[in-house]
Parts: sequence; C-alpha cells; structure tokens
Amino acid sequence: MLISELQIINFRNIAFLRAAFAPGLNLIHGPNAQGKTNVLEAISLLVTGRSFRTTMDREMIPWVRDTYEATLVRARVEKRSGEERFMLTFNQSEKHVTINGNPIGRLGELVGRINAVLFTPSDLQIVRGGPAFRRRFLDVELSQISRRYLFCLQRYDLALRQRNALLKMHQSRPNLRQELFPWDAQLAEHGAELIHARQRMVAQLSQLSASAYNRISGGSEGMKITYQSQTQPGDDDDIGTIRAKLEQALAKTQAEDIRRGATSAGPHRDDFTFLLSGRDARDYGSQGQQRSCVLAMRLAELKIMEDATGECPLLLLDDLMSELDESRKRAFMECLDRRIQIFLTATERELVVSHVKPDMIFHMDDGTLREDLIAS
Amino acid sequence: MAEKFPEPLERLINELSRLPTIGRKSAQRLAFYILKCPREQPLALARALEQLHERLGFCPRCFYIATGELCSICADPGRDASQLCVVEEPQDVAAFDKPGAYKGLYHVLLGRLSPLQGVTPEDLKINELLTRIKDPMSRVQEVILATNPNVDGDATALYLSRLIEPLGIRTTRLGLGLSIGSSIEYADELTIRKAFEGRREL
Ligand SMILES: Nc1ncnc2c1ncn2[C@@H]1O[C@H](COP(=O)(O)OP(=O)(O)OP(=O)(O)O)[C@@H](O)[C@H]1O
Ligand SMILES: [Mg+2]
Ligand SMILES: [Zn+2]
Repeated sequence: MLISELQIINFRNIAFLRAAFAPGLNLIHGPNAQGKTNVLEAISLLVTGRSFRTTMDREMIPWVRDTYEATLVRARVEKRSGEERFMLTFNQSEKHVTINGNPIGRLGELVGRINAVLFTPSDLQIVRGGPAFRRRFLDVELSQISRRYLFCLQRYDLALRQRNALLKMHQSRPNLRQELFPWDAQLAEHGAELIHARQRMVAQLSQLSASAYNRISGGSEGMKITYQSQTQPGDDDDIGTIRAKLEQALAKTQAEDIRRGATSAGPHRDDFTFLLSGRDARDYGSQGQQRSCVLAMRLAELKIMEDATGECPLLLLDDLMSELDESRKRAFMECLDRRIQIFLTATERELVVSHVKPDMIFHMDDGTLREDLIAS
Repeated sequence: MAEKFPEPLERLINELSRLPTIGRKSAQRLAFYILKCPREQPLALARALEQLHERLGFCPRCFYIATGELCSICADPGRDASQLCVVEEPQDVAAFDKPGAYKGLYHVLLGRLSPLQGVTPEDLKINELLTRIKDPMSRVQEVILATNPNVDGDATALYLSRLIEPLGIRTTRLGLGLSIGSSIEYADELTIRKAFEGRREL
C-alpha cells in the first residue's frame, strides 16, 4: 500500500501542500517547528479519522483564518486491489470523509481502509506510562485488523459502565447480586474474546519483536513481551475456557466490588510488560533500550498487520533519528523492508543520508514542502 | 443567555423543548412556525394532544396502547395464547405485528435495564409480566425475549430468562437477523420474520 499523492489545505501551519511520494523511503527534513510532524499527523488522519496528537479537531485549524473555510486532507492510495481516493474535510462545525468520491456515514467506516504503523517520540509512554497506554495500544491495534474485536470492545465497555453504575449508585439494593448477573454475563462473554485476542496478539508481538530487537540493538538481551491478566488465562486456553475463568473471577471479587463500587477483574485491568533478559524494561531499561523495545514492537506490528490484511502498511516514523545512537540507527535502517513506503522526519538531512539513501527527499520550511534537488 | 419572548410564546418554547431530540433552538423554530400558521392548524394539533391521553391509554394486561378496556391484540380471541413476546416499547409491537410473522401475544416492558440512566427492574413492567405468566389461567408455554440486540437489551433478556426459567416455561431469544446496533423499531418485515424463525434457547 502506498500514498502516491497527498494534498493538504489549511492544516496547522500548512496553508497548501501538494506532493507526489516515492514508493520507498521518503525523507522530510527541516529544523524544529517547521511542520514535519504536521504532515504525518495529516496522513494519519486519513488512517483513523483522528489525530494522534489531539482529540480536538479545532486545534488543527490554522490560527490565522482570515479567509478560512475548511481544512482538507486528500490522498491517492495505491493498494493491491487498485487505486482509492480518500478525502477528509473539516472545519469548526463539520467533518466529512469521502472514499472514491462517496461520502461515508460514520468515521468508524474509515478504520482499516488505509493501514499504517506510526512511531512517534511519545511512544516511549507505551513502556514507561501506566497500563492504560498499553491497553489502548492493543485495542487500537486489534480494532484495526478485526471488526469483531472492535464490536466486543464497545460492548464490553458499555456493560462495564452499566455494572459500575449499579455498584456505585445502587449498592444497597436487596437483589443486587441478581441484578449484577446480566452485566456479568456480558462482561464474561465479550471480555473473554478481548483477552483471547490480546493474548495471541502479545504472543505474536513478542515472538516477532525479539528478533527485531536483537537486530536493532546488536545485542542478545532477549526481549520478550508478556500479557498479564488477573484472569490468568493459560497459553492455549480457548475462548470458552477464558470465559469460564472470567466468570469465576467476577464471582470471586463480587463482594469486594460491591464494597469498592468498581469492577476489579477483567481485561480493562490487564496489562503487558516488556522484558529484557527477564527484567521489566520499565524499571530497569535505559531510555535507548526502552525506545528500541517500542521500535521492535512497531516492526512486529507491521508484519502482523501485513499478514492480517494482505497489504504492506505504510510506516510513519517521526523524529526517529534523534532518539537512537549511531549503531542502532544504522541497524534499524538496515532492517527496514524496502517494499514498505516510509515517511521519515528528521531535523537534519545528514542524520539520515549518512545511513541510507532515501528515494525522495523533501525539505520543510515554515509549512512549505519542497523536494530537495541537491544530489545526495 | 437565551432571549426572552412574550409569555405565551416562551411557554410554548419551553413545552416543546421538553420533547426528546428537540433543543431550545428547534423549539424556537417550531414555535415561530406555529405562530405564523393559520389558526386551524395549531388548534387541530392542540385537540389531538388533548385527546391522546383521554382516548388512549396503555393496555392493563400487556401495556401496548389501547383505546378500550384491553388493547386490540389482547382482545383478539384468534391469538395464540401459548406464545408471549416481550418487547421494550409499544412501537416494537407495531414493528413485530406484521401478518405472517407472529400470531402470539405481547408484553411491553416500557423500557430496558440501564443502571446508568437509573433504570432498574422495578421501573419496568416485569412484575406484571411474572404475575401474568404465573396466573393459573395462563396458557403461556414460551416467552420470546425480543428486546433490542444491544448491551442493554441483552441484559434485560438475560435478567428475565433467569426469572422465568425456574417457572418451567421455555424462554427463547430472537435470532440475530437484526443487524448490529440497529433497533427493532426500524426493522423491515422480512427481517422480523427471519428473526422469529431464527429464535434460539437462552
Ligand atoms: N493550529 C495551528 N495553526 C498554525 N500553526 C500551528 C498550529 N498548530 C501548530 N502550529 C505550528 O506548527 C509548527 C509545529 O509543526 P510540527 O510539530 O510539525 O514541527 P516539526 O517540524 O515536527 O518540529 P520538530 O522538529 O520540533 O518536531 C509550529 O511552528 C507551530 O507553531
Ligand atoms: Mg516533529
Ligand atoms: Zn394488551
């Protein structure tokens, strides 16, 4: 899958941008605060319908808006099945998406049409931040490749909110246990599917990132990712078994849940851990090691997404070069598959071209993107 | 701040904006429209509103809408009293009651379980349902749980099945011919018929 052409109008500091990109590595370089990340943000808007930086579309509207009417991001995407055209427009009050000229009803219909893996400096939070970051990572990932997962996730969340409302507001009801039953049953049903899918995803990620990690770090620290669940599913448990375990866990914690007014067992409390030589990278890893963990996982993600969709996803790499030491940079660039279309941002051109030869080089200057014509 | 209009207009706007999906803005638009109408039209509306509660009520047996003592369905002797279809709202009865799809009786809960919105079992016509099927004169052999196929509707169905099964009565759930997230109210005839045919044990 690749973006052959991109057009951006009125997006943050980009008044107008139109560019054709190469199938392989596209480098966008320029000093800080010129708009490099903005380009990646605009692309990712077409992937999920939402920004990875903000939940407020307003923030992406240019500050100077004398003649502003709307923001537009548009792309021609070449897929194995043929070319597709995507267009997203929004302003202060409206947001529309069309695919091949046809408007789509819900933003959710956009998910999964363009596949992309994004790496940004804030990804470090996946290792360092709280469990919510990691759960969100898995949920976003799995929702992109499985509609079923997204469906179970939405149902689970609602059933959980209903159960918690019952626990909080109606604690002293005489038949509370009886009234908890229908929510517990649904939590177990959908929660089991979530745990099952996540567990398999984490196992796959672990396996694939282990080798990527060693290639990037040049070492043999033995990276692993493990899923932690209070439900304690076994590696080979099927959905039915996990469901039974989750039912038991809910029954076991019921008295405590009633006291606390919250649900203590279930995938909404699960987590996963990065291990380096058996030790938690969150507590013991250096910053560079933590970065390498996430990068290795992103590469694993790329492979999983490709297997699931039959399309090679786009790779959006923001500010990668400032994060790693020389040997890791070189090793990382070397393990990139040249079939993948990559958008890479860097503050200096040399940071990249000294390691690999990009297929196209662009310079970003105050919101204006120009192809570099200096021979490399 | 919302601007104030002369009292009669303000009162109409207030009343209109209490209706579901009508905000203050739409209420204003409607009120001004009504003000401009020839006098007969708003008077006809007022009469319709007045008579709604005078001439219509809920059936005391199944809580569907009724003009007389019982609703037209409960009053119909040709109905199959061995089947009872439980729905959330009166409009669901209208959606289900298509010729050839279902000939049994109904029971309207007038809502669905939702602790978030403060709706718990005693807010629904659940006790009335249990009394109805426990009645020695009752001929009900199967209760078809036809609440909406979403989280709240499923919870309501599960809750009811737990109460009904110990009475030795078969409970079934409508087949998921209904697409995800859709509501019964808007289902077409074919979907309804398929849903009844595909019903399964709970
Ligand atoms: N809504 C907006 N309207 C106009 N300009 C904006 C808006 N939001 C952000 N900007 C500007 O966009 C620029 C930041 O762009 P971006 O984050 O893409 O920079 P960058 O080139 O990636 O820099 P760095 O190398 O520091 O990461 C800043 O100059 C910022 O002032
Ligand atoms: Mg940046
Ligand atoms: Zn009736």
